Amino acid sequence: MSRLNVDQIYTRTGTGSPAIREMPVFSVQRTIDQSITTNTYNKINYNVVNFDSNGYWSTSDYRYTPLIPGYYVFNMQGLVAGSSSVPTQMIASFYKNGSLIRTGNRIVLPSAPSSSSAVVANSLLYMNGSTDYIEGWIIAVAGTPYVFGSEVNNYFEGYLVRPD
Amino acid sequence: MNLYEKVMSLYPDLTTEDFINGRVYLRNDSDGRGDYICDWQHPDFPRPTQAQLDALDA
Repeated sequence: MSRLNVDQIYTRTGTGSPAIREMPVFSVQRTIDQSITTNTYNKINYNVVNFDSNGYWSTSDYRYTPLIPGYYVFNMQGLVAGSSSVPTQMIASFYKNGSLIRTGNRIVLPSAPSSSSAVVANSLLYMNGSTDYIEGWIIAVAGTPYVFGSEVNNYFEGYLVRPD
Repeated sequence: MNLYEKVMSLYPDLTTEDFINGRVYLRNDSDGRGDYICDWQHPDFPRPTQAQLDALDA
């Protein structure tokens, strides 16, 4: 009987699934305000890379294109405020290959809310490891919305949970 | 006047649900090209023409 030792788990041993050390993880943030249009799906341009183990995040297109096929968990949060009036509804969502594929919770506030609100989305998605890419988007209803620049409140993260 | 405001001025009876659920699907790819109509599937209101939208700038 052959045995798999710890060193083999952490380093690639040949063909097949990536070793744990090679499993991609990333975290990006939006640290400056970004204006968005009411009742319009807006892509969030996450401008700061917190970490990106495999370098799959594009700092020009603001999208994640993993080159290892498999099933990925993605999480995002956006903090939406209003320059003169705060939106009354908002939804965070994921776009895969430029199309809406998952939405998160929908926040509905009383009319004329006075404070900003954060929306989140979470999803498990298959990525083909070559052309598939994922982006974080937000839609806000009414008011004069913008994504409030804050590294602790605006983030987009993901990691591979099962290689294909 | 942004694209949403133009659409609403043409069709004031449109609702929030129309925009959220994609019957009137407005997008901004945040690439500097601005808002645009990605898709229009509303059963009662026809997609506005570019001329109609441009006229609202005058």
